[in-house]
Amino acid sequence: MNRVSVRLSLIALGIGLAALFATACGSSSDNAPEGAETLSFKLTDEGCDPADATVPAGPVSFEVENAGTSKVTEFEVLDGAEILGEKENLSSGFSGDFSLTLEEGTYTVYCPGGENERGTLTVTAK
Amino acid sequence: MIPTLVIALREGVEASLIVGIIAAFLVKESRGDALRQMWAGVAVAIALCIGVAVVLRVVGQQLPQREQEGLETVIGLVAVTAVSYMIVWMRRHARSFKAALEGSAATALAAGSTLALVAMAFLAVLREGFETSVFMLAAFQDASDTTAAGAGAVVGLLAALAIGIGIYRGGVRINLARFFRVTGLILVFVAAGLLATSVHTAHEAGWFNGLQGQALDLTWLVQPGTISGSLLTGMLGLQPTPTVGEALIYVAYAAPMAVYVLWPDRLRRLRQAPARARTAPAESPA
Repeated sequence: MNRVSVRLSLIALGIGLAALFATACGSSSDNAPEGAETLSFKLTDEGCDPADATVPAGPVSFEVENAGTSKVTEFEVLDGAEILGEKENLSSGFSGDFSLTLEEGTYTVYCPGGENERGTLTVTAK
Repeated sequence: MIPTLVIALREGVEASLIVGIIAAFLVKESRGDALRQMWAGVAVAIALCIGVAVVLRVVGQQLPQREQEGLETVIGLVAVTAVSYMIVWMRRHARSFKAALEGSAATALAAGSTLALVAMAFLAVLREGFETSVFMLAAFQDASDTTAAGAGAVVGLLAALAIGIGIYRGGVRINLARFFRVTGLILVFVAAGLLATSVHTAHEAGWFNGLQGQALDLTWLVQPGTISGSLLTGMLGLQPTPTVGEALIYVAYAAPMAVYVLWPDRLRRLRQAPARARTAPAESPA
């Protein structure tokens, strides 16, 4: 393979990946759907604040803000061991959001690195 | 400034390390042609990452987290394969480097192998690049104190770059045999870390949910939010609280590979001596 074809193949690979990302972005809606409940969490040295929350079933928008901790930079919502949604790299002063549609049940909010890493998210019937 | 610094350092140092070792390796092998291809690939990857981050920001979309983690997992596993191949190749040729230094035939690297290394450098940058670019833009535009956050992120990325350059410089200077023994061992831990990180990102991609119990508490060593913690996570894939799955795969890979790299030459030679006469023609440079 000569150099030109190597470069071409790299560029082709790049375009392919870009296309993949464009598709991925199109299919996942990051904007909160109509009528979504909003839950706000702060990341602190202690963990997620509030640690426990309750919300009715349906679309939920999670707003996460780092309130000045360097220990916790990540927020996750788990169903058992499975991560349903998360936000990474939220350093001090950063904020981010994501949306999930949750059914009735008990979930975990996870702020790795905090003193109390895990909290409970209770989703009640509509 | 420190919070963004440690994140940019952690995200940048892994790619910097891999690119630095590949660059030193290609220089050692006198493959200037492949080195130029490698830099072209790295430049394309950086441009691509910045491009994607800017487009996402312009259209007001966020990086799809699951897809990003999935991409990191796939590239991570490709990287483990490539790095393992490098380790085995180095080990196999460790003896012939002395001959190479004495001016006889250099160890030839097949065209396919250099292409694989070029591709590996490209993928290594791409792997963390999207997330890093998005983070850098956020540091400059969204943070509550954009000056401190932006400065921290830039310093962190420059520090990651400096580590890569340091490894490259050091790698070029020391002699071949030592280069391969030292980098061989470093690469074992880098690859083990990549495997463990792939287990981690596979979980975050929603592909793997088993063995998620906490295996160890390494927070005394890998302190979250510190520079040393970032380096340990970025370079060796160590998590502050590794899960059972991550710890198992790390040890399962690192232990036999470390023995393979460190096993004394003399013992190998004694054991291989009868077989060498038969295999010698096959080992001659392609």
